Formats: sequence, C-alpha cells, structure tokens
Amino acid sequence: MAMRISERDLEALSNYLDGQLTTGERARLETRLQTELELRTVLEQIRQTRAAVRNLPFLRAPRNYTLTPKIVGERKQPPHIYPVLRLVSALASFLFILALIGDLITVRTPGIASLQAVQLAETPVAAVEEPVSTEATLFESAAPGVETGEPVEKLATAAEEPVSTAEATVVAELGAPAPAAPQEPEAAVESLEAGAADQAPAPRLQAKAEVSVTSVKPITTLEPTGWTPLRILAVFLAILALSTGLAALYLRRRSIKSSLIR
Amino acid sequence: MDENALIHSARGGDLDAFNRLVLAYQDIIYNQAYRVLADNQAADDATQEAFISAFHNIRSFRGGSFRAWLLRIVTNTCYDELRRRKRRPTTPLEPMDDTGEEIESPHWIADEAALPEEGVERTELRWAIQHCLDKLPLEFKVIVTLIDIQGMDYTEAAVVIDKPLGTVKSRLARARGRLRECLQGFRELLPTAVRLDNEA
Repeated sequence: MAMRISERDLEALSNYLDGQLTTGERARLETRLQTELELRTVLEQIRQTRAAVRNLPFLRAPRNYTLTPKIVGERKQPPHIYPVLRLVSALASFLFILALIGDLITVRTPGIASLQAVQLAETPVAAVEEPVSTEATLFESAAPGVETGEPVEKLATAAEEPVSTAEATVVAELGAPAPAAPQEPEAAVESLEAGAADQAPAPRLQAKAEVSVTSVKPITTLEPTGWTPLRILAVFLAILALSTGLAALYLRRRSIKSSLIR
Repeated sequence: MDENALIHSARGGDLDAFNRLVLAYQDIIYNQAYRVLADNQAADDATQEAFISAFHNIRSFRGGSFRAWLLRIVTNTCYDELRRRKRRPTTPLEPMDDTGEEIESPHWIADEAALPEEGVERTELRWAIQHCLDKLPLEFKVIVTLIDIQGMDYTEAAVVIDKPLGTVKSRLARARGRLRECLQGFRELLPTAVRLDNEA
C-alpha cells in the first residue's frame, strides 16, 4: 500500500532526487529523513519509480521520416485570404457590439427618446386620436383683410378633422368677439364671419398645427422606434462577422484536412 | 555540416538540409509520440506530421535548443490527436468482456520495438509502466516522458511545455507520485520487477 504524504513533501522528495533543492532545503529535508520513517519509505519508492521509468527502452523510429517535395507540397497552407477573413470577422464582431451598445443607449436615454418623439410629431400625423379640444386649440386669427385661404367650413369640422400642417391656420379664437355663452362650432364660425371685418385686431397667435399636439399622445414609454441607422449597421456587421468567420473556418478546416492526406 | 548550418539552410527552403535534421532527431521525436499516445500507428502519424509542420514553420525557430523546439511541435501534435480522439471516439478493435470493458492486449505483444532477448518479466514490467503512464493525465505524462525517458533537464522541459520551472517541478512530482501508487499494485504481481542497479 502506498503511503500518503503531502504534495509539498512529495515535491520536495522529487526535487531532492534530481538535485533541485537549495542547500538549505536539502539540509532540512535530510534532517527530517533521519527521523521520519514514512518519509524515507516514500523517498525510496519514488526512487524506484523513477528508475523503473528510466528503464524503459529507448525506441528506434520504425522508419525514416524524411520529407519529399511531394509530401511537403501536399500540405496546403490556408489561402492568403484566410488571415484577412479572420481579421474582418473579428473587427466586425467588435463593431457590432459597439453598435449594439450604442443602440441600447439611444433607446434608453430619455433626452434622446423625446427628441425622437418631437421628430416623430413633426411628421404628418395620419389621424387624430382624440378630439381636438377647442379650448386648447391655438389658431392664427383671421385678421381683417387677411386672407387665410382656408374655407370657413373647415372651422366647423376642425375638431373632427385631421389637422395638417398645410392647413394650419384658421379658426376664430374662442370667446372673441365675445359671445357670453359657450358656442357650438358652427356658431363660432358665424360669429367669426360676422365679426371679421370690424373685429379688433386679435392678437396673432402663432399657429402650430403640430401642437394640436393634443392630437399626439405624450411620450411616456421608451419604445423602440423601428429601424434606426444604428440597428441597420448592427445587423450588417453581424452578417459580415458571421459570414467571414464561417468562411475562415471553412478554409482552415479544408487546409487541415488536405494536409493529412498522403 | 553542423546543426546551425543545417538549420540555416533549411530556413532557406533546403529540404535536404532539413532531412538531415530529421534523421538526427527522428528517434527522439518518435519516442515522445509513442510514450504519449501509446500506439504505434498514432505515433507514426504524429511523428510525420510533426516534421512536416517543423519544415513549414522553421522560420519561427529563433535559436536555442532545436531538440526542445521539435519536441514542442510533436507534443502539440499529440495533444491535437488526443483531442481529436475525444471528439470522435473510435470503435474499439479489442474484444469486450462481460462488463463491456475492453480487454486490453498487453502492449508488448504488439510492440514492434520489443527486444527479443528481453525476458518475460522485463517485458511485463515495461507493459506495467506503460500502463501506469497511460493512466496519467496528459500534462503529467508529457513531463515524465520528457525528463525521465528523454533525459531532459528541467529548464529544457520548461521550454518544451512553455511553462515556468515551478510548474515543471510540481507536475513531475505529482506524476511520479501517481506512478508510484500505480506501480505498487503491480509490485505485488511482479515481486522482482523493480531493480535499483540500473538507476542512473
């Protein structure tokens, strides 16, 4: 039965046999060997093991392994394009990760997200989701003599119709020329017509059709906004990394396989 | 022509010069491959592959021990072969016993390098040692083969395996420890197996 000793002692004994201990280490070990029987026994067993292994015959090569031009020529190096493909794949992978991180930051950063929301709001709105509140609507006043070019009827249906930036401008300010009671849209139109000529110049209010922004829901969620340039780039880089990586792998395996053919 | 001149010529593509180096080192390389892979055919393939690789990469040899450089190549080739075996295990050609274990033939039966004048006892000992070597983890087997079979010193072995000297010492000690334990079992079967008179 082989006695168990610590790995540290085992290494010390092995080094001792090969003369790899310092003077001090050897002296300490020899002191221990004089007093510890188990250590002496293990040393002897390791000595015998080393001797047995060294006793294995040195084998002669069964044949000559000299090379011929044919053998050397059959080993195909990977084509020169292989390192290029590998480099491109690595670079594309790295850039893909950067693009991905950039895209994530873009989506999750509120300032950038609302900027995107404003940009979205400036584009033509297809439909009004909520009825336009007449109280909230801002209009450019139809000052006397100012041709708005807009049919008055539009005023009546402004609450229901989609607001277009092209049709920014017309409707009377509510409360002017001061009907006491809340008016129906049609009544508002009529009073506008009637008072257009003699109406005191009403303050011009800057129209912002897009600020029938009441028609646009405030952005409360940070949702992906579709195919941003970063995302398109990330997809492209991913495809590039994958395709060049696979091509490099294929070329490498083909060259290894062909080198084993004799 | 001395070794450095041969190496210099081989770096220039001189195949004849390289072949002279092959003849000088092929026994060492084959030994290393055989002791690590424990198979004649595999060792043959690994040796050939190692020399082909050495010729193609000789420009990467920066001086120092050419033997260590070659042994490093063949060791890496053996690693590749063993990894390949793990990925694609081969159907054993040896018969199976009732438990499904392969009935191993003693190496010495198939060993073409067996010396005819050796006694049965000695041959069985060699088989026992090789059997215990085969049971070692690969990195232990390599270091024992380099130092105790190939006769390398620790520093050169460190160059071959590309590890620090401390790692060489540690692995060798642990390898010898495991061999000791393994051979203790064979000691009972082979009472006169180990002799100290051939110790160097």
